[in-house]
Amino acid sequence: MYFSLLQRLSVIGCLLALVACGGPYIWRSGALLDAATTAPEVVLTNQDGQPFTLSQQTGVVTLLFFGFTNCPDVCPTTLADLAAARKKLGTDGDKIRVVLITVDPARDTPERLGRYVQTFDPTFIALSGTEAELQAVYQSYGVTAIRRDVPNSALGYTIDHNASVYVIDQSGHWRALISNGAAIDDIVADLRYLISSGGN
Amino acid sequence: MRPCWVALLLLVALALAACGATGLQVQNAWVRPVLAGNTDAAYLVIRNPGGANDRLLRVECESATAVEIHTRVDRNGVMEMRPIDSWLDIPTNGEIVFGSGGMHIMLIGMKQDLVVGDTLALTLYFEQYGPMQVVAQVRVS
Repeated sequence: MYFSLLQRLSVIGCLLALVACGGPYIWRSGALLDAATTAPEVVLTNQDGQPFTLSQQTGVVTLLFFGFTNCPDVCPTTLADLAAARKKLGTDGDKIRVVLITVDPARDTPERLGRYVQTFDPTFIALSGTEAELQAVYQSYGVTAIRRDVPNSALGYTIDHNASVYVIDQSGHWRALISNGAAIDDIVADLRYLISSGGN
Repeated sequence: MRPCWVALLLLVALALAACGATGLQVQNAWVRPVLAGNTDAAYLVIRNPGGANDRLLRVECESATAVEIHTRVDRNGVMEMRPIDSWLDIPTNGEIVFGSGGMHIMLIGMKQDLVVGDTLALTLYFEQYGPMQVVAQVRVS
Protein backbone atom coordinates (compact mmCIF):
# COMPACT_ATOMS: atom_id res chain seq x y z
CA MET A 1 0.00 0.00 0.00
CA TYR A 2 1.40 3.34 -1.01
CA PHE A 3 0.91 6.58 0.94
CA SER A 4 1.96 9.88 -0.48
CA LEU A 5 4.23 12.16 1.52
CA LEU A 6 1.27 14.50 2.07
CA GLN A 7 -0.87 11.67 3.43
CA ARG A 8 1.90 10.53 5.76
CA LEU A 9 2.46 14.07 7.02
CA SER A 10 -1.28 14.49 7.58
CA VAL A 11 -1.44 11.34 9.72
CA ILE A 12 1.62 12.39 11.73
CA GLY A 13 0.13 15.86 12.15
CA CYS A 14 -3.14 14.48 13.46
CA LEU A 15 -1.34 12.20 15.91
CA LEU A 16 0.79 15.09 17.15
CA ALA A 17 -2.31 17.24 17.55
CA LEU A 18 -4.01 14.54 19.61
CA VAL A 19 -0.95 14.13 21.83
CA ALA A 20 -0.66 17.90 22.24
CA CYS A 21 -4.33 18.23 23.17
CA GLY A 22 -4.24 15.21 25.47
CA GLY A 23 -7.61 14.16 24.09
CA PRO A 24 -10.97 15.50 25.22
CA TYR A 25 -11.17 16.71 28.80
CA ILE A 26 -12.74 14.19 31.14
CA TRP A 27 -15.06 15.97 33.57
CA ARG A 28 -14.44 14.58 37.04
CA SER A 29 -17.09 16.02 39.34
CA GLY A 30 -20.25 15.06 37.49
CA ALA A 31 -21.25 15.25 33.85
CA LEU A 32 -20.12 17.39 30.96
CA LEU A 33 -23.03 18.14 28.64
CA ASP A 34 -22.64 16.70 25.15
CA ALA A 35 -23.62 19.95 23.51
CA ALA A 36 -23.22 23.13 25.45
CA THR A 37 -26.27 25.32 25.00
CA THR A 38 -27.02 28.86 26.05
CA ALA A 39 -28.01 28.68 29.69
CA PRO A 40 -31.69 29.38 30.32
CA GLU A 41 -32.10 32.95 31.51
CA VAL A 42 -32.39 33.67 35.21
CA VAL A 43 -33.85 37.02 36.21
CA LEU A 44 -34.35 37.16 39.97
CA THR A 45 -33.57 39.40 42.94
CA ASN A 46 -30.43 39.13 45.02
CA GLN A 47 -30.07 39.36 48.78
CA ASP A 48 -29.63 43.13 48.59
CA GLY A 49 -32.86 43.59 46.68
CA GLN A 50 -31.02 44.21 43.41
CA PRO A 51 -31.92 42.52 40.12
CA PHE A 52 -29.74 39.63 39.00
CA THR A 53 -29.62 38.59 35.35
CA LEU A 54 -27.64 35.49 34.49
CA SER A 55 -26.92 36.53 30.91
CA GLN A 56 -25.10 39.58 32.24
CA GLN A 57 -22.65 37.48 34.24
CA THR A 58 -20.21 36.99 31.38
CA GLY A 59 -16.52 36.56 32.06
CA VAL A 60 -16.99 34.39 35.13
CA VAL A 61 -17.97 30.77 35.66
CA THR A 62 -21.34 30.76 37.41
CA LEU A 63 -22.30 27.86 39.64
CA LEU A 64 -26.06 27.65 40.24
CA PHE A 65 -27.33 25.68 43.19
CA PHE A 66 -30.95 25.30 44.23
CA GLY A 67 -31.48 25.01 47.99
CA PHE A 68 -32.92 26.61 51.11
CA THR A 69 -31.67 27.99 54.38
CA ASN A 70 -33.51 25.52 56.59
CA CYS A 71 -31.81 22.63 54.82
CA PRO A 72 -29.47 21.23 57.46
CA ASP A 73 -27.33 18.86 55.45
CA VAL A 74 -27.36 18.80 51.64
CA CYS A 75 -27.26 22.57 51.09
CA PRO A 76 -24.63 23.49 53.69
CA THR A 77 -22.47 20.57 52.58
CA THR A 78 -22.63 21.68 48.95
CA LEU A 79 -22.04 25.35 49.73
CA ALA A 80 -19.16 24.51 52.08
CA ASP A 81 -17.59 22.36 49.34
CA LEU A 82 -17.95 25.13 46.76
CA ALA A 83 -16.43 27.62 49.20
CA ALA A 84 -13.52 25.24 49.79
CA ALA A 85 -13.08 24.81 46.02
CA ARG A 86 -13.00 28.58 45.50
CA LYS A 87 -10.39 28.90 48.20
CA LYS A 88 -8.25 26.16 46.66
CA LEU A 89 -8.35 27.95 43.32
CA GLY A 90 -6.48 30.88 44.84
CA THR A 91 -6.72 34.02 42.74
CA ASP A 92 -8.65 32.04 40.09
CA GLY A 93 -11.40 31.75 42.68
CA ASP A 94 -12.35 35.31 41.72
CA LYS A 95 -13.42 33.91 38.34
CA ILE A 96 -16.06 31.73 40.03
CA ARG A 97 -19.47 33.03 41.06
CA VAL A 98 -21.58 30.83 43.32
CA VAL A 99 -25.30 31.53 43.24
CA LEU A 100 -27.88 29.95 45.54
CA ILE A 101 -31.45 30.05 44.23
CA THR A 102 -34.00 29.40 46.95
CA VAL A 103 -36.53 26.60 46.67
CA ASP A 104 -38.29 27.91 49.79
CA PRO A 105 -39.31 31.50 49.02
CA ALA A 106 -41.95 31.48 51.75
CA ARG A 107 -39.30 31.33 54.48
CA ASP A 108 -36.17 32.54 52.72
CA THR A 109 -36.38 36.31 52.85
CA PRO A 110 -33.60 38.21 51.07
CA GLU A 111 -32.15 39.18 54.46
CA ARG A 112 -32.16 35.59 55.64
CA LEU A 113 -30.66 34.35 52.37
CA GLY A 114 -27.93 36.95 52.56
CA ARG A 115 -26.93 36.09 56.10
CA TYR A 116 -26.99 32.41 55.21
CA VAL A 117 -24.66 32.50 52.21
CA GLN A 118 -22.30 34.90 53.97
CA THR A 119 -21.51 32.17 56.50
CA PHE A 120 -19.89 30.18 53.68
CA ASP A 121 -18.24 32.82 51.53
CA PRO A 122 -18.77 36.59 51.42
CA THR A 123 -18.81 36.50 47.59
CA PHE A 124 -21.74 34.08 47.37
CA ILE A 125 -24.98 35.41 45.92
CA ALA A 126 -28.47 34.31 46.99
CA LEU A 127 -31.52 34.80 44.81
CA SER A 128 -35.24 34.80 45.33
CA GLY A 129 -38.27 36.03 43.46
CA THR A 130 -41.97 35.58 43.08
CA GLU A 131 -43.38 32.08 42.95
CA ALA A 132 -43.97 32.49 39.20
CA GLU A 133 -40.43 33.76 38.55
CA LEU A 134 -38.89 30.93 40.53
CA GLN A 135 -41.08 28.24 38.99
CA ALA A 136 -40.02 29.40 35.53
CA VAL A 137 -36.35 29.01 36.49
CA TYR A 138 -36.91 25.59 38.09
CA GLN A 139 -38.70 24.44 34.96
CA SER A 140 -36.06 25.66 32.55
CA TYR A 141 -33.30 23.86 34.49
CA GLY A 142 -35.37 20.75 35.17
CA VAL A 143 -35.21 21.31 38.90
CA THR A 144 -37.49 19.40 41.22
CA ALA A 145 -38.61 21.40 44.25
CA ILE A 146 -41.48 19.82 46.11
CA ARG A 147 -42.80 21.11 49.41
CA ARG A 148 -43.50 18.20 51.72
CA ASP A 149 -45.33 18.67 55.02
CA VAL A 150 -43.65 16.94 57.96
CA PRO A 151 -46.29 17.09 60.71
CA ASN A 152 -44.12 15.12 63.13
CA SER A 153 -41.26 17.64 62.86
CA ALA A 154 -40.76 21.10 64.31
CA LEU A 155 -39.71 22.10 60.80
CA GLY A 156 -43.35 21.96 59.72
CA TYR A 157 -42.35 21.22 56.17
CA THR A 158 -39.28 20.49 54.13
CA ILE A 159 -38.41 20.78 50.46
CA ASP A 160 -37.34 17.82 48.38
CA HIS A 161 -34.96 19.17 45.77
CA ASN A 162 -32.20 18.41 43.29
CA ALA A 163 -28.72 18.67 44.70
CA SER A 164 -26.63 19.08 41.53
CA VAL A 165 -24.72 22.25 40.75
CA TYR A 166 -25.34 23.75 37.30
CA VAL A 167 -22.16 25.02 35.69
CA ILE A 168 -22.42 28.01 33.35
CA ASP A 169 -19.23 29.05 31.58
CA GLN A 170 -17.83 32.53 30.92
CA SER A 171 -19.76 32.79 27.65
CA GLY A 172 -23.10 31.95 29.23
CA HIS A 173 -23.20 28.35 28.07
CA TRP A 174 -24.54 25.62 30.31
CA ARG A 175 -21.59 23.27 30.20
CA ALA A 176 -21.80 20.73 32.98
CA LEU A 177 -23.23 19.44 36.23
CA ILE A 178 -21.41 18.88 39.48
CA SER A 179 -22.89 15.91 41.29
CA ASN A 180 -23.87 15.99 44.92
CA GLY A 181 -21.00 14.67 47.02
CA ALA A 182 -18.30 15.26 44.37
CA ALA A 183 -14.77 15.45 45.77
CA ILE A 184 -13.51 18.99 46.25
CA ASP A 185 -10.31 18.25 44.32
CA ASP A 186 -12.38 17.07 41.36
CA ILE A 187 -14.45 20.25 41.46
CA VAL A 188 -11.26 22.31 41.57
CA ALA A 189 -9.77 20.44 38.60
CA ASP A 190 -12.92 20.94 36.53
CA LEU A 191 -13.18 24.62 37.36
CA ARG A 192 -9.51 25.10 36.46
CA TYR A 193 -10.24 23.51 33.11
CA LEU A 194 -13.18 25.82 32.48
CA ILE A 195 -11.23 28.89 33.56
CA SER A 196 -8.29 27.99 31.34
CA SER A 197 -10.52 27.24 28.35
CA GLY A 198 -12.06 30.69 28.71
CA GLY A 199 -15.56 29.58 27.86
CA ASN A 200 -14.62 28.15 24.49
CA MET B 1 -6.42 -7.63 105.41
CA ARG B 2 -10.04 -8.51 104.78
CA PRO B 3 -11.37 -4.91 105.06
CA CYS B 4 -8.76 -3.89 102.43
CA TRP B 5 -10.09 -6.43 99.94
CA VAL B 6 -13.64 -5.28 100.51
CA ALA B 7 -12.57 -1.66 100.01
CA LEU B 8 -10.74 -2.61 96.81
CA LEU B 9 -13.78 -4.43 95.44
CA LEU B 10 -15.94 -1.44 96.26
CA LEU B 11 -13.52 0.86 94.47
CA VAL B 12 -13.56 -1.35 91.37
CA ALA B 13 -17.35 -1.46 91.43
CA LEU B 14 -17.53 2.32 91.74
CA ALA B 15 -15.05 2.78 88.91
CA LEU B 16 -17.08 0.49 86.64
CA ALA B 17 -20.24 2.39 87.49
CA ALA B 18 -18.53 5.68 86.75
CA CYS B 19 -17.43 4.39 83.33
CA GLY B 20 -21.01 3.52 82.48
CA ALA B 21 -22.19 -0.02 82.38
CA THR B 22 -22.39 -0.05 78.61
CA GLY B 23 -19.09 1.65 77.86
CA LEU B 24 -20.50 3.84 75.11
CA GLN B 25 -18.12 6.16 73.29
CA VAL B 26 -19.01 9.28 71.32
CA GLN B 27 -16.40 10.50 68.86
CA ASN B 28 -15.84 13.30 66.37
CA ALA B 29 -18.81 15.46 67.34
CA TRP B 30 -19.08 18.58 65.17
CA VAL B 31 -21.50 21.09 63.70
CA ARG B 32 -21.21 23.75 61.01
CA PRO B 33 -21.24 27.50 61.62
CA VAL B 34 -24.80 28.78 61.68
CA LEU B 35 -26.77 31.95 62.18
CA ALA B 36 -29.35 32.34 64.92
CA GLY B 37 -32.77 31.31 63.66
CA ASN B 38 -31.41 28.86 61.09
CA THR B 39 -31.21 25.10 61.18
CA ASP B 40 -27.97 23.21 61.74
CA ALA B 41 -26.93 19.56 61.82
CA ALA B 42 -24.74 17.76 64.33
CA TYR B 43 -22.55 14.89 63.25
CA LEU B 44 -20.91 12.30 65.49
CA VAL B 45 -20.22 8.60 65.89
CA ILE B 46 -21.53 6.52 68.81
CA ARG B 47 -19.65 3.26 69.44
CA ASN B 48 -20.53 0.47 71.80
CA PRO B 49 -17.34 -1.59 72.18
CA GLY B 50 -18.20 -4.61 74.24
CA GLY B 51 -20.99 -3.14 76.33
CA ALA B 52 -24.56 -4.34 76.59
CA ASN B 53 -27.08 -3.47 73.89
CA ASP B 54 -28.28 0.09 74.29
CA ARG B 55 -30.57 2.59 72.59
CA LEU B 56 -30.31 6.26 71.79
CA LEU B 57 -33.64 7.66 72.92
CA ARG B 58 -33.29 11.36 72.15
CA VAL B 59 -30.91 14.30 71.93
CA GLU B 60 -31.29 17.67 73.61
CA CYS B 61 -29.52 20.97 73.00
CA GLU B 62 -30.26 24.13 74.97
CA SER B 63 -29.11 26.26 72.04
CA ALA B 64 -31.78 24.87 69.69
CA THR B 65 -35.54 25.29 69.75
CA ALA B 66 -35.99 21.64 68.83
CA VAL B 67 -33.74 18.65 68.16
CA GLU B 68 -34.71 15.82 65.84
CA ILE B 69 -32.99 12.97 64.11
CA HIS B 70 -33.41 12.99 60.36
CA THR B 71 -32.10 10.93 57.53
CA ARG B 72 -31.49 11.84 53.91
CA VAL B 73 -32.82 9.81 51.01
CA ASP B 74 -31.49 10.25 47.47
CA ARG B 75 -34.23 9.48 44.93
CA ASN B 76 -32.64 9.82 41.50
CA GLY B 77 -30.80 12.98 42.45
CA VAL B 78 -33.68 14.50 44.42
CA MET B 79 -32.80 14.78 48.10
CA GLU B 80 -35.49 14.06 50.63
CA MET B 81 -35.26 14.50 54.39
CA ARG B 82 -37.28 12.38 56.72
CA PRO B 83 -37.49 12.46 60.53
CA ILE B 84 -36.74 9.28 62.44
CA ASP B 85 -39.30 9.00 65.23
CA SER B 86 -38.15 5.85 66.95
CA TRP B 87 -35.15 5.13 69.12
CA LEU B 88 -31.91 3.92 67.55
CA ASP B 89 -30.43 0.60 68.62
CA ILE B 90 -26.72 0.39 69.35
CA PRO B 91 -25.93 -3.30 69.69
CA THR B 92 -22.86 -4.65 71.39
CA ASN B 93 -19.81 -3.85 69.24
CA GLY B 94 -22.06 -1.81 66.97
CA GLU B 95 -22.08 1.86 66.12
CA ILE B 96 -24.33 4.62 64.86
CA VAL B 97 -22.90 7.14 62.43
CA PHE B 98 -24.43 10.59 62.10
CA GLY B 99 -22.62 11.94 59.08
CA SER B 100 -22.91 14.44 56.30
CA GLY B 101 -24.99 12.92 53.53
CA GLY B 102 -26.80 10.49 55.80
CA MET B 103 -28.45 10.42 59.18
CA HIS B 104 -27.96 13.62 61.15
CA ILE B 105 -29.04 15.30 64.36
CA MET B 106 -31.07 18.28 63.21
CA LEU B 107 -30.87 21.38 65.37
CA ILE B 108 -33.93 23.44 64.51
CA GLY B 109 -34.19 27.14 65.28
CA MET B 110 -30.74 27.87 66.65
CA LYS B 111 -30.90 30.48 69.41
CA GLN B 112 -27.43 31.83 68.77
CA ASP B 113 -24.84 32.27 66.05
CA LEU B 114 -22.06 29.67 65.92
CA VAL B 115 -18.70 30.45 64.35
CA VAL B 116 -15.66 28.29 63.68
CA GLY B 117 -13.89 27.61 66.95
CA ASP B 118 -17.04 27.70 69.09
CA THR B 119 -18.35 24.62 70.85
CA LEU B 120 -21.90 23.38 71.26
CA ALA B 121 -23.18 21.28 74.18
CA LEU B 122 -25.45 18.34 73.39
CA THR B 123 -27.00 15.81 75.73
CA LEU B 124 -27.58 12.31 74.41
CA TYR B 125 -30.06 10.17 76.34
CA PHE B 126 -29.51 6.42 76.25
CA GLU B 127 -31.81 3.74 77.61
CA GLN B 128 -29.10 1.97 79.62
CA TYR B 129 -26.32 4.52 79.95
CA GLY B 130 -28.57 7.45 80.78
CA PRO B 131 -27.65 11.01 79.81
CA MET B 132 -24.27 11.74 78.26
CA GLN B 133 -22.89 15.23 77.79
CA VAL B 134 -21.13 15.77 74.47
CA VAL B 135 -19.24 18.84 73.28
CA ALA B 136 -19.37 19.38 69.51
CA GLN B 137 -16.72 21.48 67.75
CA VAL B 138 -17.90 24.13 65.29
CA ARG B 139 -16.03 23.71 62.03
CA VAL B 140 -16.62 23.94 58.31
CA SER B 141 -16.18 20.25 57.43
